[in-house]
Amino acid sequence: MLSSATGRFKTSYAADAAIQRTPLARIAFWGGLVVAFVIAPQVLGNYWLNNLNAIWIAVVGAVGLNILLGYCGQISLGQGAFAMAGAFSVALMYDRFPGLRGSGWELWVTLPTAGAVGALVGAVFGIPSVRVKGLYLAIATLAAHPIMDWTVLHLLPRLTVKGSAASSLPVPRPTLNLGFSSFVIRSDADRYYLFGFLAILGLLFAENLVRTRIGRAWVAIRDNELAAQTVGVNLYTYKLMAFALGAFYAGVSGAMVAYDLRAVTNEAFGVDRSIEFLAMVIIGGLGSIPGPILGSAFIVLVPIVIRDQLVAPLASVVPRIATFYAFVRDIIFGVLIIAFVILEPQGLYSLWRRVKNAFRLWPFSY
Amino acid sequence: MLDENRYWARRVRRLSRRRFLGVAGAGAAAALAACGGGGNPTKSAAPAGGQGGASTKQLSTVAVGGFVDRTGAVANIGNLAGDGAKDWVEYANSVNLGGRKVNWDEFNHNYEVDKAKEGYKKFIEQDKVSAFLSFSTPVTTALAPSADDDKTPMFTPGFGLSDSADGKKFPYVFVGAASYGSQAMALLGYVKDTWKDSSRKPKALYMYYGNDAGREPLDLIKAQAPKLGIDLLSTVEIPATTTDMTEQLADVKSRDPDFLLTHLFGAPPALSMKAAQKVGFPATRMYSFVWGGGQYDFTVAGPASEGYFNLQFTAEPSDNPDAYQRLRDYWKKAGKTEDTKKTGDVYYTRGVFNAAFIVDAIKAAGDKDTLTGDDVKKGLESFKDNKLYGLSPGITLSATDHGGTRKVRLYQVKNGVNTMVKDWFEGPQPS
Repeated sequence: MLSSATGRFKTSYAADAAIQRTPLARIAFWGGLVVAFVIAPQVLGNYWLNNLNAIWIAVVGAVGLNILLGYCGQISLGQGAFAMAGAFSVALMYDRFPGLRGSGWELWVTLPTAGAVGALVGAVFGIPSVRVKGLYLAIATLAAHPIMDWTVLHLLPRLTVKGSAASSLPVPRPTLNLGFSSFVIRSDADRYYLFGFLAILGLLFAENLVRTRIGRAWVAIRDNELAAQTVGVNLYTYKLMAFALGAFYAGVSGAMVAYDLRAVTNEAFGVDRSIEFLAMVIIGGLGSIPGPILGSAFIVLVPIVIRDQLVAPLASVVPRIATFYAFVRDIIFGVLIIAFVILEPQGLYSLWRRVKNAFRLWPFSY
Repeated sequence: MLDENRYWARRVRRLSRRRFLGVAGAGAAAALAACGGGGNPTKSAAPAGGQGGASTKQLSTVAVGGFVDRTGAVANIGNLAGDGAKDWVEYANSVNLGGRKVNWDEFNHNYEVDKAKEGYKKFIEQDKVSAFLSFSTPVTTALAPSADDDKTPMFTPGFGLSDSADGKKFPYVFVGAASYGSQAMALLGYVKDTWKDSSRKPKALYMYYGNDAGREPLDLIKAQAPKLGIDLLSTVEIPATTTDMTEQLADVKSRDPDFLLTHLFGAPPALSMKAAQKVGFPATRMYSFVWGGGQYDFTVAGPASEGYFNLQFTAEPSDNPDAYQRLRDYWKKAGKTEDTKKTGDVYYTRGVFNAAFIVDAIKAAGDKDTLTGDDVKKGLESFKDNKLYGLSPGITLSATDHGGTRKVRLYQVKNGVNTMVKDWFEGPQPS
């Protein structure tokens, strides 16, 4: 049960395509779910629940980018802009359809719509990917940000009921009617459950999708486009599909941001967010499903940990370190990212796999 | 071939993990040591510094959070305002101005909503603040719903949502100084009053920073200008990342407005003055909102700032308000020298204003041992014509009115000195 050191012998197609291949993996998965959703909310305070919420939000967006970059090999710097599209679609729906507020089924409507709007925008900005590759595609998708900024600013007055010029909209607290009970999602813990559910759902969907024909086509495109074409993979369709799905995840991530802040403003979705998503995916490990989780946790928690564990205790010893930290925070962050790319180019996930293998092969080291 | 391998092998070895970490560790240690030495004589406002005054009952320390932007788009304002606030809190703690010790907690959000959310959570959950100072309008918009939820008063003097003057809409947001809407109405009223030519309507043009803060009074200006008989030629948005405004000012010059109302902050105010001089648009026709008129902007623009009008919501340092006198007495007693480059800038004064506002709110909140946000809210709503040691025209707050005051002062740069042109006045109420 504990190891498959002698090889994995599958006797059915289902077992071959399973996500959790050993009993230990199954235990770890369900145990992780129990810890995350039963134990953690009881034990952690609001501060850490809020940090974990930020991680869930980041995970959804990072999984989308991982599909696009890790599995299909298309660099995209537009995840933040697609998230903005999703977030604004949520706010606009509440603005145009006041009947949505307080109805128990609003989440069933707003979340898929946010994803769909994000997917649409993503597909539009994915069109250049047919002709353009690599670095040039990155710059082409970078254009998504100013274009979406301009669109939101100029389209918003026409779309909102009041037609005001402000570029921010409020979002009310969602009400969820599960049939047997209906409650308003109010506190950090409520949001934790909602966001965690969405993140796990997104992860499972992505993990299953990449094991299908579509996933294999993406991997073929990533590895060698010409060879994929000769085998009969329609580049255009699959690349656009990758963009659309990655942007769907980004749209849902944007909707989660909207519900978290309860106000949507285009300042919250700058190029920084896209670059952060990229950093999450690269640091976590491209082309793996646990990679985005590790990368998101790293990117979200490192600044907080540095500030709380390193700077705050030193504040009484070294004067003005808090002010100093404000200036060097981004530098430290960038240095860490560079260090990771140099020392661990395959990401945290490969580090994790090496540790796992070391235990599996012990006492042998090869 | 073999030589090539050896060449690269040697270099790869240099990049070994241990060396890298050793160099990084040494660099970090050096950086830490560097930030320890040097710096101005004012210490950070830890409660340990400064003895408490002769209070009969020692109430427990209250934590107050303050968003201060030392980096980012408005770092020029943030650095000075942060220092001003720190100095005032240090003084206030030494004379027990707030009735209890105030622990001022600074957080830098770099003008970004994400980091602001993180900092807000830190304030509420970890530091357990009883009130906090917001900074930047987009952040205010994003955090206002949360502040209402967590029942913690949020201070937004001179910026933020004009709507938040309504105490019922935003029960925990307090403005305390002229909001953007009040500033806009004051300028429009001034335009209407000073326009003497009866043959035609005055032409105005509104130039604003391309974000929520700049767009905040846009609707109001568009609606009210025709009602006051002002011909609003157009509104020009300045992108946040602009480095040169010659094109926009050339366009403005071609339209030839009589009054150019600018709502810019950060780098753009100085850029606007320099560009205006370049294209030959007189600075005497430029009227800036409150965040475009600090000594920093005048210094950067140089002679191009001559004649530039600007609104202020606090007293200027050159007016020598009571607050400054108190600070100077305190510094003399403590043996510190005043950094006139900092104190001579109105952004520093605004930092002092922010801190004075909060400390007075703490005082008004009463004698309970631990203060909750609701206590501070009640204390604030009891403010009656509080002049904040000469800094404010008089803040009056109530449960329904969180605006405090609509008054502003108009200054103009004459011979390099920002001189008062019109004392506290307010614009007409929007109709």
